[in-house]
Amino acid sequence: MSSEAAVSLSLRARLLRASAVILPLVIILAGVALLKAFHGSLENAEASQARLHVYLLLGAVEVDGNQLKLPSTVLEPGFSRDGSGVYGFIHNADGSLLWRSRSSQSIDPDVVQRLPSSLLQPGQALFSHLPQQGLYLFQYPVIWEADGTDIRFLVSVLRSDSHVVSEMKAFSLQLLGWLSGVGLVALLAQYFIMRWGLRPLDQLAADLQRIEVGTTDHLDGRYPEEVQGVTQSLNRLIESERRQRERYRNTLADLAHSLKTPLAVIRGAGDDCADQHSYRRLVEEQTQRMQQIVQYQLSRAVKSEGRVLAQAVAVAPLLERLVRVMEKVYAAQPAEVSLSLQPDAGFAGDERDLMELLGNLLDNAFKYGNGQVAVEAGLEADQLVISISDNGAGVAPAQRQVILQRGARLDSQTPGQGIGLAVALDIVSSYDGALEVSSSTLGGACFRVELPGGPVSQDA
Amino acid sequence: MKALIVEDDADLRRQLCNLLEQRGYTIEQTGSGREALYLGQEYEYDIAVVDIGLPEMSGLDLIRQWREEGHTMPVLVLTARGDWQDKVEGLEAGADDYLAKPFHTEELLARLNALVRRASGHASPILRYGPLELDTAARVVSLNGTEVRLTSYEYRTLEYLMLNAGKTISKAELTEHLYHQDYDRDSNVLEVFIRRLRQKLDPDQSLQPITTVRGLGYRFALGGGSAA
Repeated sequence: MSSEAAVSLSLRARLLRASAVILPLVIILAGVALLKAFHGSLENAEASQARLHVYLLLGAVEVDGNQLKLPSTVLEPGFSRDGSGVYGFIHNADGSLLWRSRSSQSIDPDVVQRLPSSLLQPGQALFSHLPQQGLYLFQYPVIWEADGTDIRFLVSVLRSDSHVVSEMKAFSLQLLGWLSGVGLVALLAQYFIMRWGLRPLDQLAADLQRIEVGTTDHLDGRYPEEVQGVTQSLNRLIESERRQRERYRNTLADLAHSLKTPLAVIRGAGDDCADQHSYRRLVEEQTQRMQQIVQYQLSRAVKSEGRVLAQAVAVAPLLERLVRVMEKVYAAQPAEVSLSLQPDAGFAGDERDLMELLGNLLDNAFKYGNGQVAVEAGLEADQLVISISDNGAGVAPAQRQVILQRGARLDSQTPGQGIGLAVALDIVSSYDGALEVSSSTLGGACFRVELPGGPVSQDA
Repeated sequence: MKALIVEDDADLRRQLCNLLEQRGYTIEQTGSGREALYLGQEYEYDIAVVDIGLPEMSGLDLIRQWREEGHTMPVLVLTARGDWQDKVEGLEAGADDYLAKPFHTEELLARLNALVRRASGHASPILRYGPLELDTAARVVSLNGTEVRLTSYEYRTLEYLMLNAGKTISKAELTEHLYHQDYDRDSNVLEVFIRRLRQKLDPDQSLQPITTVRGLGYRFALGGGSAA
């Protein structure tokens, strides 16, 4: 398992790693956005406070002639206290200072000098932060109508930003605490969700292990939809493997049992047979019988399960191959072969089975025929129909049923009878096909096979 | 007839050798595909019996390679599986016939006989030239319908000459195909066989079936041959 882990990360590690990267990123972004928003709202509050102060100042202004007068104490006590953090200035239109609050003694004269330089139209207000001085500046130009003349002046209120800075500091500390908490909880939640979400896979592994040790023979747990497909295929695989094993076991048992009879006959023959000659003949007969049994069971063992496959096997090239081979084998009694093959006819099953089936039928046609063999293959709907005819002696109608009798036990057949047909029949029935014997137009036997078929693409 | 037997099972190989030697074949044997490949390349055989399931080099590869190199001797494959897939593969590799194990000795002999005859162009197991008849299956020679008694070596010499009727066969070739390679090749022995054959087949010297081609070898020729 450890080497597998080295090759491929576990699902859990993948998900955890991904969230370990993404979660902090999301939290940091959220934190930044929150800080920004909070800072914005603090500044807004600061601006409206400053505006309020401007209105206060304006309310206290008295105009005498074209002179501006302000009482030494205004309503807002901050203006009077030195270092209160609230400072007021009033300049006239040409920039000379008309009034400054008593609190403003500590303000940098440079800042005070630069105050009237802003070019504001009446009605426009300016709110800005002077970070170097740690001040917020709010300026508001006013036109005062007195005795028919307009007096222009500029009201400036400076407020210390220490309040905002400390609020921000407190807020960010708090935010950090909360966000770390949220991050931790999210990671934890993610971990539990993952454990819960991946539990079916753990269960699958455990169930498979139970199959391995033999406590159960299939996956019967309830699985989520996504895993259901896997478990179903696994169950099918396990089932087909089990059936295969059973088939092997049965074949082996059949083989062993069916060999017992000829063995018993041979064993008993020692006492039974009077002379050397009859003993030899008996041994010969019984070994022949054993050979047939072995060959029959062997061909059953290599035969596939007879599953209908989606991909059809082309029949024409296979038949042509077989005919070429037969012509070689039967060179001493050559047969004239007429092939009539539909090129796209295909067999929806195992190629080996088809070769075994047709090999046996063609072999019979060449063996028992009298120099003429006709092979036809084609599709009728989704059925593959192949007929192999010869001009030999044929099969008598009474015999037809016998040679195709299904379930006729091989070890009860008389020696010398070919097993080719038994194998052919076995293959045909495993595909739910049909095998019929009739007389052919050539005068001999005609074997007609029906199997699940399908068209084969021509270019394949 | 000279046969090469390639079978890795020692017991079966011994049985095959005994069987074929009894039937007058000269035998070379091996259990290895590689050695068989070499033997087939170096010597001429009238037939080879090859087991498909050989270690190292499979029987199919062996036959394929022989055929690629142009060796045309008839080959009979022995297969243990005996399904058509196996047979077709063997025959497509270049074998001329197959036999599934276990087999009847008579069937093996009949098939080998047929293959040898086919290779020399004779369809029937009975070679008939004028009054002379040689039954390759029964290993019987008759003249005007009466059996001529021949020793095993005499029969083999005559069979080889008749299978290659019309062709001049050198003494070396004849020795090669009739005797084991370790055999002391004294050509006098061959001359003795030929002389005895002539006496038995043509006591009054009217037929003259075997002619001596001076300096080249012997030739079997008789009118009315049935060589197809």
